[in-house]
Amino acid sequence: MKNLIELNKDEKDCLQELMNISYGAATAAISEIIGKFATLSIPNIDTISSKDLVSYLNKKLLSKNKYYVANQLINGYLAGENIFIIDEISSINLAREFDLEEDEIDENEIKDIILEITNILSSATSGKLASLVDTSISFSAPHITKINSIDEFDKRFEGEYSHVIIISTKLNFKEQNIKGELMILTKKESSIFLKKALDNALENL
Amino acid sequence: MQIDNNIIFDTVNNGIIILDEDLNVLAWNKWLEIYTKIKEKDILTKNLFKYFPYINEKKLKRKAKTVLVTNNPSFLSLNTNRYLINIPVSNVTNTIFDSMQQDITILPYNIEKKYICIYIYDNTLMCEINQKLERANEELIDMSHRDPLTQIFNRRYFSEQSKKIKSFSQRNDNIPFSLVTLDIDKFKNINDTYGHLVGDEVIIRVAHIIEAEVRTSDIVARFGGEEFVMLLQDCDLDNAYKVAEKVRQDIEKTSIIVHIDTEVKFTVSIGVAQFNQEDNNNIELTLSRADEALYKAKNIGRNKTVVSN
Repeated sequence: MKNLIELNKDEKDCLQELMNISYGAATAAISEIIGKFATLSIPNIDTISSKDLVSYLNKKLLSKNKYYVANQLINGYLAGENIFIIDEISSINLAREFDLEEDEIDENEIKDIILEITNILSSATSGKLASLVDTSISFSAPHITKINSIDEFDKRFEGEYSHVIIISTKLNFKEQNIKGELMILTKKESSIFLKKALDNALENL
Repeated sequence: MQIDNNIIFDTVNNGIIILDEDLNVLAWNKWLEIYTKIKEKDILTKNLFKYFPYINEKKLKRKAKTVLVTNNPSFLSLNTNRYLINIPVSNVTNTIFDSMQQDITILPYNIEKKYICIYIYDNTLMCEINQKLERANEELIDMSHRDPLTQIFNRRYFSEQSKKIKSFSQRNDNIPFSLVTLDIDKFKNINDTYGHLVGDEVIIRVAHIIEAEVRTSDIVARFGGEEFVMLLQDCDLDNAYKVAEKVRQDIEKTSIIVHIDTEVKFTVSIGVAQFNQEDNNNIELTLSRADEALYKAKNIGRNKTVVSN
């Protein structure tokens, strides 16, 4: 079957540029919320088929690390799901950057901070894509789980979605760097819509 | 058409609060008046934290700032916060939660004036159903791990756990662990003489005696019929022999009273083996060696404990 989201070079460049802009907005928001200077960079952006997601994660992430996996449903024409994966150590560092005292950092607080970041990144990235095709989207409340290794990653995504846009994320603070992976999972229909969004953006350049 | 938002505000089936950036109350809908018994006129202009000091001020202020900065909704999910405002549950059919379980959405209401809006949804029923399902699921999993007669673990659970324990041992400088197989002597005679109900009682008694002798970290399983296996963690051959002998002696001393004048006594034969490198990383080979030792115990007169070399 033809890969519906097979992007040509221009479309990929366009997606990278749009996500850079979105991340710029997200960075500004995060900096303002926590009152600290932060930069958010995207060293890598990729699109893969959803059935290759688990093998991608196996290559990319350390299989024995513990990870938090936050997922958030997107509703509307760009229906899909955003997933943010972050390792345990980065998560604790993130909580510190959010000015939590050592005695305040517990499982619940860490999860809450990750949900907050997921929410900000989701709205910045998917919101940007939606605005290109003049459509409205809404987000469901994000959920979070902790997995003891990447083997426990929920495999239901393979059947549920057709394509995945992977945005490797580096959140850089003065003291420390925090790494995470944001994945935008799209269904077939929304993949077509996304391609249309990119083409619209290219036409308007 | 002129739409009166106040009708929606006061009839919608969830709580709505409008707050300024310092979280002073600007509006408080009828739903909240009913559930909290606090009238809007009493709470207007008051700070939310003064009324509800248990609210995490730092977190809620951060959320408020987030929605005002991003102009997007933010959520307090039930994963991490059971409720924003503590509302006792009055539903008599609820048996799990004392307080209403809430989903909270925080929205920008007026960016220029820095007003936010909080929606409170009652999610208690869904949480209750989920929790009951989770409990039922846990019970099912537990049942699938246990032998129905004795309630000790079954062979399947033993196989799963023994692999994990073997891996743990190998990751930790080969911490020793041992297997003990145990078989009730002449069990067919007990069944034939006293009937299956007495036979079952003997099996249950043996299971209880074994369980009483091991630590909670050890695993005791019924492999079927009158055969049991113990997996003793952090336990070499000498210590495993001591535990096995204690079990054998305790069983030798016990009896079951069938009628006022009939006492059924019974014994067990035991084989002991320690997992070692010669087992070629296969715990089944350790089990086979323990079984061979058990047959030796049977062959030299029963009611004995024999260790595998």
